[in-house]
Amino acid sequence: MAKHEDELADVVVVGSGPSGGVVAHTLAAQGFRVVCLEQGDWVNPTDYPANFPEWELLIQAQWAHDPNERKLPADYPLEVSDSDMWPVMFNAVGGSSIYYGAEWPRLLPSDFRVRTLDGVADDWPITYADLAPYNDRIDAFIGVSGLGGDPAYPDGLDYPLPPHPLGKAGRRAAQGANALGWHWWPGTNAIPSQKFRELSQCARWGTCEWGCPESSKASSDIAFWPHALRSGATLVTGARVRKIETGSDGRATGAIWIDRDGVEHRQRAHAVVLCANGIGTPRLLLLSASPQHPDGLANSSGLVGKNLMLHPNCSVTGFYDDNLESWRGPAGQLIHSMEFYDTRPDHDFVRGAKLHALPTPGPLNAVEVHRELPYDRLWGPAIHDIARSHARGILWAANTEDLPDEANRVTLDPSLTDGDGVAAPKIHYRISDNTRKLLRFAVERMEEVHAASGAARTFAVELWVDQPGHLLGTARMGNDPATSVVDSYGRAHDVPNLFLADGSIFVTSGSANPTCTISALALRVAEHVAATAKDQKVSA
Amino acid sequence: MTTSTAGAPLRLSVPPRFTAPRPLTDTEIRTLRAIADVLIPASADNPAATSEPGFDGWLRRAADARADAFDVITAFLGQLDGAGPEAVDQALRALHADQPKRFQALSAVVAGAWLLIPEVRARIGYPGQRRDPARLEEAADQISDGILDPVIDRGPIYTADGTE
Repeated sequence: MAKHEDELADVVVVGSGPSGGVVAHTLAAQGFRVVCLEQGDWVNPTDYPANFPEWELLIQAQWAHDPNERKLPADYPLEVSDSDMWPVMFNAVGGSSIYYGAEWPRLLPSDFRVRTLDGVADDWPITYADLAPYNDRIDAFIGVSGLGGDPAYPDGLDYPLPPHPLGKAGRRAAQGANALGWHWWPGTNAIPSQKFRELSQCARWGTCEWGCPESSKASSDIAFWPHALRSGATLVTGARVRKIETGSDGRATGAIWIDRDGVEHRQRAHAVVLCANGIGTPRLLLLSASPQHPDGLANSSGLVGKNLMLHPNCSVTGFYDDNLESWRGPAGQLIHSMEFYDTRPDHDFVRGAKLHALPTPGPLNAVEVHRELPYDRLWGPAIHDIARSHARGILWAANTEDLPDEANRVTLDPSLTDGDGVAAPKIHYRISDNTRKLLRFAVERMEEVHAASGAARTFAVELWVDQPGHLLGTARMGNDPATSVVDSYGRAHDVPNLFLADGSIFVTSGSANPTCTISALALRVAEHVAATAKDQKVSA
Repeated sequence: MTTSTAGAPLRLSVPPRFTAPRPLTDTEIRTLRAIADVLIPASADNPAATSEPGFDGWLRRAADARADAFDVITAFLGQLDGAGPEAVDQALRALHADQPKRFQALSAVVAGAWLLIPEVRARIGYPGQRRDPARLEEAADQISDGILDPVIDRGPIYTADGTE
């Protein structure tokens, strides 16, 4: 039984990452009393490892991407013994956007019609055109930098700020793509190329994926939360939600959460919006099982936690003979290529991959890339040249489209718990044959483009087990309650005042980095909550 | 208020200031220097790591930054106490072959310390991660020479979804 009864809110939001930030700001700005519960707390720009010369050592453990490695108080463990990959995340105000690279490509039109076009998976209940206006508004709000006119997208796509310089590394990568006749385009990033609202102009630190010391990356803590707080939203940090409660009428009544001292609270609300990511949201729904909902909340379809998609990443790092100033950011993508995004009849797999080129900051990181070499080619006299190679690198990496499979899923582990004794998620995830073929194909293409750019030597990683933190599909949207968890506005089919607004509602993964789409979907969800509310109470 | 064991307010999402559980001893520093002489020896115009100014101090700082591996590293150092160069070389090769995760931690600390030295950074052309904002016209300059023309000339490549 909760010991503290918090004041009734109109909407309680769980999680303060991009979707939670968008939802909290959108609803607070329309007069809703919004309370957001976040299990982590604030991270200051001066905290990030890039502030320190030993940053490359710090990111190996203390500031690792993997919460099982980092083990901060805000983190919860993930049981991954039955998984080919380790889902990674960051738990803080801003969520995993603290650590994202802010690559900001939209999904393509074909992504919403995979069943129709390719005969696999399912179509989304919305189209590219349905979501595009929300993408536009998010882009305008956070100051996305990019170059309009990308021929990989329908006409009319443009960005509020100009793109970042390609840099020597980006130009070299582009020259390779041109030599092969491939599509490429200057990278689209949620990193302002000029000062924009709360965000500083990008100062090209190059450490975007370990926090921006300049506050110039649109992580949710600075892109959305200052606006949400000014609009009247309440943000409670150190608040770990362990259950969503429901009343006898089946409607959600609020959240039970645990504070830093282990004291339980009940936050009552007219509506609940879950924004806890594609792992945390299904975990919470499963934790919220009750006699009325014995298989977990909103789970009459049996699909809560299923269809986990993780966007398996592969990469090829190339080192060149000339100085590419590869320490310089953003990273962030310098360029992207959508050449192999869609299904092609000559491939032995369906769907495709998004390729992107990044710089390779840091000499110790360059040493780490070379570790697959025999001992004497890395250590001893060889180390001096390898240390110098840091300035001559280009990282080509690929998100591969991960098709939904119900066997890939999140469940509750029977024995592992977090620091508050709440059951940890267990990840069951196997990479499909289609994805294996796609990974190999993407590595071959990235080797090819490095060769076309004149790389002296390359190092391929066919699967990054601890990247990229794209946590998708575990409570999919759809029109049919039998085959989906929420409708196209994120409203749970089973619980009319429960909404989901994070990556868990994706139907398919595409291969574009997902935060752009997550944020647009969250705006669409939040505006629907507002539009369907009466007297700030959400109606069925 | 909840506090950490050191009495400071507990930060939920930021690791505590990283320090090794105890200072490295003089003996351990001496062994780390012997390891550095194998991993990062003098070569051509490049000095050995142990010849660089302040290397011992940077070793201590690197050990702090990988405090998670302190016990593993010092246990290995204990096995090599007083060993000659040939024995150190053989032990490192064995560790590399048999215990790659431990070798990674040890070699990262040694190489990481070396790469923290300002003189080394200058020699290898590494300015460090730092503020380096772009000039206003820099992005435009870098795409105004026609590098995008082949992509634009090719025209749209996206697959229509049939809903237009």
